[in-house]
Amino acid sequence: MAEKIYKKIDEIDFSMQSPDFIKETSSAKIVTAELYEREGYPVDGGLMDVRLGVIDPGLRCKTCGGKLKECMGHFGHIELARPVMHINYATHAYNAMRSTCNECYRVKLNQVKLDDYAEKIKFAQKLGDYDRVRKLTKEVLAKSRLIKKCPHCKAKQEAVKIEKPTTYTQGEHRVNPIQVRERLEKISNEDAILLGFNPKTSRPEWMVMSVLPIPPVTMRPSITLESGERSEDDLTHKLGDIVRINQRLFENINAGAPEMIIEDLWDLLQYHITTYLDNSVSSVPPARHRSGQALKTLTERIKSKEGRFRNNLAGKRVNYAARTVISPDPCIGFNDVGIPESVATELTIPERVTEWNKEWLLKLIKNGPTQYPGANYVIWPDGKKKKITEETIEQILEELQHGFKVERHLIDGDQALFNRQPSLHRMSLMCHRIKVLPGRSFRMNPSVCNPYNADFDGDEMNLHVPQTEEARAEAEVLMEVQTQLITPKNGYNIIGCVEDSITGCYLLTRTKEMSKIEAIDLLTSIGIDNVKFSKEKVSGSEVFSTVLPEDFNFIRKNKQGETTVRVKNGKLEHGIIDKNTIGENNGELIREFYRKYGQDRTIELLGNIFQLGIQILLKKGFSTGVSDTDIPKEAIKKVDSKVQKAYNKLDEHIESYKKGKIEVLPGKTELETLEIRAMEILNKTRTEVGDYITELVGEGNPTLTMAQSGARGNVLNFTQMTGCIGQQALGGKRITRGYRGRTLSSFKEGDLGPEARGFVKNTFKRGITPTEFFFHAMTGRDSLMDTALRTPKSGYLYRRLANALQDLKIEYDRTVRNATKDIIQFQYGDDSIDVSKSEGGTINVVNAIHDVLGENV
Amino acid sequence: MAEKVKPTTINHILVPKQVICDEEEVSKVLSKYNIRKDQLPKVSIKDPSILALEVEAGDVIKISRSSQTEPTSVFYRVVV
Repeated sequence: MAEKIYKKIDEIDFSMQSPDFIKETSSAKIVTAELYEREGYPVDGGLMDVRLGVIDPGLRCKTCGGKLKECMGHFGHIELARPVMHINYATHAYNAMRSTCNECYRVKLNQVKLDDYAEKIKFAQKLGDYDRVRKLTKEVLAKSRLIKKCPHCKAKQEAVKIEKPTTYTQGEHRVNPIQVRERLEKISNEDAILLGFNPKTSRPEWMVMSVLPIPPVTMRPSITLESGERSEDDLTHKLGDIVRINQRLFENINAGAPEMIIEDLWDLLQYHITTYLDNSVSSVPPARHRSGQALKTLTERIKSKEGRFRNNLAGKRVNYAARTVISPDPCIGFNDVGIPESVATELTIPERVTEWNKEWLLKLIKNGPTQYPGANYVIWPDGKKKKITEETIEQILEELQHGFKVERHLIDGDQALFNRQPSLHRMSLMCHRIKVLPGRSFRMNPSVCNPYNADFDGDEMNLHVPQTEEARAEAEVLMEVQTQLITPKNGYNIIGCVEDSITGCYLLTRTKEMSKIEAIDLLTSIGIDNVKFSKEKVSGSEVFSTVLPEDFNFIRKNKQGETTVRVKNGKLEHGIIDKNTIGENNGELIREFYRKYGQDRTIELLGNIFQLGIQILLKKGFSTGVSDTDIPKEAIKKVDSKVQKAYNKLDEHIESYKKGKIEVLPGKTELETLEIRAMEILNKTRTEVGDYITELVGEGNPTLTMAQSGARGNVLNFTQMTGCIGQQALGGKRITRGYRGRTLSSFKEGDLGPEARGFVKNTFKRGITPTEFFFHAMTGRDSLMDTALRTPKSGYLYRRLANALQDLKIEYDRTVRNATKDIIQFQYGDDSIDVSKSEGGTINVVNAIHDVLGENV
Repeated sequence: MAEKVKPTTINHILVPKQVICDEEEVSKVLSKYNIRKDQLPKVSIKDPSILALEVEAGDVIKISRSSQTEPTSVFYRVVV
């Protein structure tokens, strides 16, 4: 399957333009700085000469005869009255002059050395080793530069000096560009090679400009202002200056003006040409507009962030896009995106007028661009586009026929691409359905925060509207939310229930009994109204079962681990639903749905479960507060006694350490052993306190409910609010920093007790002592710095990795190959497992067997 | 003058088994993956792990190593 290559570039040669070449390719000689005649027609021989291309509609180019957009423009030239240095070649010309003799213009090295270098350079060029060529020519320049006596003609050399940016002196005298040009002209071709030139394409003397190419007008178009006035491009302004000074210099020379005046004009010409090429040269004051703003000339057009590369080539801008703040709305589907009316009236979809939608489109046109379901533009079959305004509406309504296109406002159900930066994986850009809502923000279901990695602390997101049928179809098939349920990272579901919906389902399935009316009311609110319950009292599991398909079977452990969730024939027989079953990332129930019913059904079922969870909390009410962390006095005493017990135990260890009787762990010193023991004891205490409190508070506590269901927070957070904050650790060890032998001056030197080493006995609610606060702040600052420093580092690391791997692809023969089909890996992952079809990278063999045998789990 | 030390095979748990492929095997590999020799992954001729094999540029080395997912995985590299 050898690919045919028709043409292949193997070398690109960058070179200077010779004056002859500039004149040859020039289509017009520019002689006057005037731009337009009185009628507004471009002057012949002016900077907007029609031979340089056209920018006015209606005119034709005099060189190629093309109209606007057909003719891409032609270069012109001006003959400079006196040669001028090119700013970017100033140092090169300086180097060439320094390395050559003042009188015989040979490179100032003896013939043997010259021949040697010539041979070496020739050899390197033949190999195509241009780094080596560059190194050799640099060596020639460095060695010949400081030689005071020419080895060829024995002439004494006086050093040439450069005065930035473009003036050269030798001794007392100034070396003007004419002299520079003469000296460079006399360098032989052989010597030019040694100095790093390729004389076939670039002679050294071309670094001094005697002819200046004038770029085509298409490169510097003028803008017609609303007042009818023309505003010229920065380049045209600068070229005007150059032409004007050049003409004056010509006139003065011809009139035989004193050398002083000529030299002043010459310097001025040099200044203008320098700033024309680069307006940000240090030591040259930048040329400015009348308003004081610096001109954007050739170099500025290309360079830096606002330049051609980074702004126009690497990053492009699009139409039909919107951006605002995002906010949550749990009542809209995963697929939906809520957009404000102001966005819906601005973004449009071109709809072709047919016999079936004409009535409807006419109604939209009548509504116009301001009233919501309306339209902004109408496109005639010949491509003519008209805005719908009060003046045009009559005519448009009259002329509208089949085959026209109407750019109508977005309506509910239209496809749109929704995106959040940084777009690190494919789930960062998904297709949603439009839902026009009041307000000014984009609304999204909180469950799709995870794939976008979004939150609502002020995040903004982008929305793009595909404009063609093909684009919309592709977006729907490839990018809709349900196609992205499973992440290719590890095969887990990236979308699942979140926060309140988990709490809700947890509470529901924990409910032993509820009245029939309550249950029906709940189910009706999520749109399920065909359920019959035979008994007056129903359990939560029965209600939950109504959203499960009838042929669904499932057995898995839930978050607590000890209870099993068992679904048989669509009935939740046992267990409580929590994060491990319906949550995002490894929500096993959802993955089972996906395996069995496919993406579309899964998103529907998941949506129902999500809504059910939300509605339960809406009906029951759910809230947390400080009072959640209230515990009785006896309990506080119990906690204290637990902590005290640990203190006593630790004291025993410290005692035995001080006596040298501690049992040393292998590979550790006595002190290390003690520290390990201390950490063990104190951490165990906190766990014990946590367990005790969890048991004490029981099921009714909302904070604990959230932690246990996995909706938000964990039991540790709760323990720290109610029981005991616990040991503060830096780098896995108790705190030892501070003074010699103690952490704070209020402790005795060598105090190894819990308080002196960062144990916090109190709780967040009760308040902590200043000492405790200090230790807690230490660990707090440590982890803050850690995250603050790690996030950008790892982000950049990931970016580099993703860029390096971006065009790798698994071929049909399971090899990993890059764009040129070179092999990177012979078998993907050494086992050819498609991670997106696995569970965390491994295939669940039991499941696979069950699938093949058609058995239920 | 010190005599040039003859390189020896590095016997270490982290250095995988490497052998030079004969011509037949090379052509088999190339036709299996439908590639030219220069499309194979590369290994430097100065790589310490293959010094003892006394390879020449253009030889293909067969590397059998253990991986995270499979007990042994076979890899081919062309010496450059």
